[in-house]
Amino acid sequence: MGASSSTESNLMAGLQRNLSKIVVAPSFAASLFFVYGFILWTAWMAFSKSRMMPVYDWAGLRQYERLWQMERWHVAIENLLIFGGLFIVICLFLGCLLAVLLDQRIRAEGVLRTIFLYPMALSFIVTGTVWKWILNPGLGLEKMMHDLGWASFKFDWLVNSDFAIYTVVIAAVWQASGFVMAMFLAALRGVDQDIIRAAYMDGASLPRIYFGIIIPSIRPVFLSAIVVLAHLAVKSFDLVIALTGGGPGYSSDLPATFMYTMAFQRNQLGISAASAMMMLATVMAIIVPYLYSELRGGKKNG
Amino acid sequence: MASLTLDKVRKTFGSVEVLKEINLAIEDGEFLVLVGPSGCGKSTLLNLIAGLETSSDGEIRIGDRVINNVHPKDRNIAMVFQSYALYPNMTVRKNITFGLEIRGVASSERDKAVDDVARLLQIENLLDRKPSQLSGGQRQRVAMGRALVRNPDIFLFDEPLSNLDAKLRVDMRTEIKKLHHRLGATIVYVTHDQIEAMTLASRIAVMKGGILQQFDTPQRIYENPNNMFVAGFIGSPSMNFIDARLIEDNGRIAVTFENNGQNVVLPLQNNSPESYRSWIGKDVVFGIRPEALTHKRTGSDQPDSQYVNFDAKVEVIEPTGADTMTVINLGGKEIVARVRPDRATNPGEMMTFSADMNQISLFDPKSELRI
Repeated sequence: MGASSSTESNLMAGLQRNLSKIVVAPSFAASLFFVYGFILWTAWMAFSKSRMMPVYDWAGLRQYERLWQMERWHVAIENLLIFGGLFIVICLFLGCLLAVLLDQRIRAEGVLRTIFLYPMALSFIVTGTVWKWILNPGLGLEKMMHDLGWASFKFDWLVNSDFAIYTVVIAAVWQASGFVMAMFLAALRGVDQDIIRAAYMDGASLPRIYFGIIIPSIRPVFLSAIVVLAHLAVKSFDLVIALTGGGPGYSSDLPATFMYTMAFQRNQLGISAASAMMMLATVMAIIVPYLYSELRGGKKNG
Repeated sequence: MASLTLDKVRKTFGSVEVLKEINLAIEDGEFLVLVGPSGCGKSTLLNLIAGLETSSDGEIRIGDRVINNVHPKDRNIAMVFQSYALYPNMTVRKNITFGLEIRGVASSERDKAVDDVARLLQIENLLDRKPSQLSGGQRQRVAMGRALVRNPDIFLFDEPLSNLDAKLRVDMRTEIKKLHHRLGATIVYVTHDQIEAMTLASRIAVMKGGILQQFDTPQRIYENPNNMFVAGFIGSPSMNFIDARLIEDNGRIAVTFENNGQNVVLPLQNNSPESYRSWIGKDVVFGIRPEALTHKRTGSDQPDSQYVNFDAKVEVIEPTGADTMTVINLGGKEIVARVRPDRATNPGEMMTFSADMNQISLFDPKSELRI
């Protein structure tokens, strides 16, 4: 009797001690399997002869060769560079500008801040759909201008294969610049107000104070913002699907939509896997140095 | 360098009046310290002088020039901030020359000015560092350098030492005082620390609740405080206040109060002001500083001595090394006396104290003003 109760209490104590590990274990196992397991599986697929169904015959770098020979992949990469570049630069610029303007202790700042931040709360699907309506020449902006009497007004980027990718930039910037603004605003609020006063007494104009002193001193936030925006750009998928569907033709394809098309519509599982690995490599190239510098910085401070 | 005049300056934020008719005037080369508890309006007053805020009423003059509506950069004043407010992205050298650069001073002149200031403040070896690589004291020096290099009419200091540790604070205090002597600059200095005020100022303005309580030299403020607030704020440990009554005793005016069921009578000096006569028979607040209340002195038994003796029980002693602060209960209040360590006794014992009646203050208990 006494022995059994002591084993029971031992068990309870062991349970208590390891409770946190036990609770975390299922989700840990799940993410280990579904995220990292499937990354490995995809890596393998990229080296196989898979087409419609996964097969496990070794094909070396053949899928990568085929990938890089495809005109469509080159379009997708080029689009990613245009989209990513413009998206990051415009978001940083607009976010920074809005943050500086909001930082002037204006009235109704809370309301404005919420308005600018709200787009981030929408899903990319909603954003894409709304902008599809706005930019649709027969439905949105162009039609409104025509109805107002400006008959020569033309804004057909959405259906123009040379410009379709820029409509994706517009929608993405609309969605993300408020978030960048919030990041910058938080950083600006962390800047000692006395610095601004000191510069003011030194005779510096407001633009000079911001561009000469304040913005250079919040440089770490630029890095964080770029990392967030860059990975948003690389993994962009739903926005393109909702807005242009990758069209007209495949003119606004991004690597993510390319991968989806190859895997589920064109029966090219191997090429799709290869393109997925290319994207993973791109994201890693951005994230790993960032994490490295962050962790190292953390150690230095601690 | 220039004089500074504040003429009926008022400041309101909405319906809240934070400064009520401040009149101040200092001469060229004076060291004015604005002192008071938090929220007394001293920093607001400094900001008005700096031009970081605009006054609601009244006139601010530097020399003969009214500067109410002059932009801060054209007032020719420089300010040292509590947080130092160094530009974090610039080296020390850039920090110091930033103001000159904006004013379009040629780069050769700038270099010379930086070198002069750096030598004066002994920060020559720090010029190429960033503010984040400096210690608190070094940042303080750079902040002062940034002000000095502009060669302004007036220097403003906003609690510049309150972020430093105690030892460094005392050192920097001396340094600022030396700097003032060497440069002969006009300085307005804000602090909540009355010791800083006493040690640095050529004149002190004590403020409370947006009202200027007293504006005078440190010594006169210490010896003749205008009211009980000033008396209690300046001096450490602060002045003792005892509720008492003024009587006439054998032809001499005396203060009396009850202590442990006994009446203590402390006759005043014959040279005390005539105005005291009208307060005979009325309640007063008897104020005496700890150093005027000490162990029994030689010659204190003479009838016309300035020292008056009385006995009291010692409650607590707080040795400071130089003196032993002895807490006694007198007239129902805790009173601090400053006693020489070799004359101090233990808590619980009776001891004879002697009060220096030349160093007393009497206050009206209602208005709290000096009689």
